[in-house]
Amino acid sequence: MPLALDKLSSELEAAVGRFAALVRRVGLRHRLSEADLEDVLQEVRIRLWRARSVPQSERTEQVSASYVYRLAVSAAVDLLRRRRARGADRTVALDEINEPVAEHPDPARAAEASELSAQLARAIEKITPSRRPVVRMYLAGYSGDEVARTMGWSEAKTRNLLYRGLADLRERLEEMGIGWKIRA
Amino acid sequence: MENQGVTDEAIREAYQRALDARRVTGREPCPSPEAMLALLRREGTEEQRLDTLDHVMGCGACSSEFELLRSIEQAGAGTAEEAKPVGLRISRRVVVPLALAASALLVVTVGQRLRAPEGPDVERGIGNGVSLLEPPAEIEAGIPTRFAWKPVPGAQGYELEVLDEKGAVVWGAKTSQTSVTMSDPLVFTAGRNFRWWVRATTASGDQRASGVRSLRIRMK
Repeated sequence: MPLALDKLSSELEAAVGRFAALVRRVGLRHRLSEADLEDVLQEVRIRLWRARSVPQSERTEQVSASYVYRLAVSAAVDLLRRRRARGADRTVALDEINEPVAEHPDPARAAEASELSAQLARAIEKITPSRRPVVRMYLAGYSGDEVARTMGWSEAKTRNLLYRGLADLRERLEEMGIGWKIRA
Repeated sequence: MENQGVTDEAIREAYQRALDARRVTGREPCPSPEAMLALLRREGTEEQRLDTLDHVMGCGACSSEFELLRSIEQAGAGTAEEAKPVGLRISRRVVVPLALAASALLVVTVGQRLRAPEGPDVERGIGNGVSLLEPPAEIEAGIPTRFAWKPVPGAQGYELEVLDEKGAVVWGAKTSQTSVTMSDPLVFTAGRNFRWWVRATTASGDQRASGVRSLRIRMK
């Protein structure tokens, strides 16, 4: 029995580990919080263990990748609901706590940067609404493939909306006296 | 010809700062996690999904939540594709020359982020949050059992759960200390197998958990 439990534990951990690697491959280039992901994975481990510990005849699921995925979605939604309920906006990894806040070495440049952010935010709000989310994704660092995949659009439609959206943004920024560096 | 102005990189950095600045606002107008899932699963009208995406991409708090769900959804799609016969597998690389589309108009410097090669996978084992110290994997029946773990910086309290073979919680404790002793002889009877874990809670309500450790009870 102990050996069986160890084997089960190894199987569960392997299944979770494989899925976690896939998630990290997708999200770490963007704003995926490692601490959030760890919370979700831990909840998945607990749920898997509970589900797998019932007698085999009562089990309805195998430890397949798709099962781990469904548990992860459910755990993630639960995590976000709990967090919103208590008013926090994200999990803070403990090694992030008490981290000294670095002061900007050049206050004048910091003020300029802050002003640019505010102007950019205002300019984006003036973009044609149907193009605005695409521009936001582009500025947030998402690839065209990721934009197209998210919205279910073709390559041509994605490229067209981005082209027009960036043109809108450039015009709005120029109205504010901000030039976008052009090389030709 | 060169016209002085901000670079594409500077615009992206400014956008990230704008996102972080919006993080501090309230969450009332934010779409629900279910609405984000609907967006990712292409459920609802395109107008609804664009509205959700517009908010999510402009809100610091939502964008990281969205990324969590997006990464999980896409990983799930990846596992489904891997399960398909090779002959039916659909190429995931729908090449959209987005940077070219942008540069055709702006000829901007494309940020590192867009072209950054995929880095190595980061693997972290369980127990990233709380390190468990004792008991060992096997103990004798009938003696008080001390559960101990390493202190977690910033933790205000800890919650211990002991699960039986069926995953049911058979014993638990909340404490501000880093150890607790279980002395009920009726729980840890010889021949049984348990799992236990600890969750730490900080002053702000954030939580970190340990991995799940096994515990076998042997005869004296």
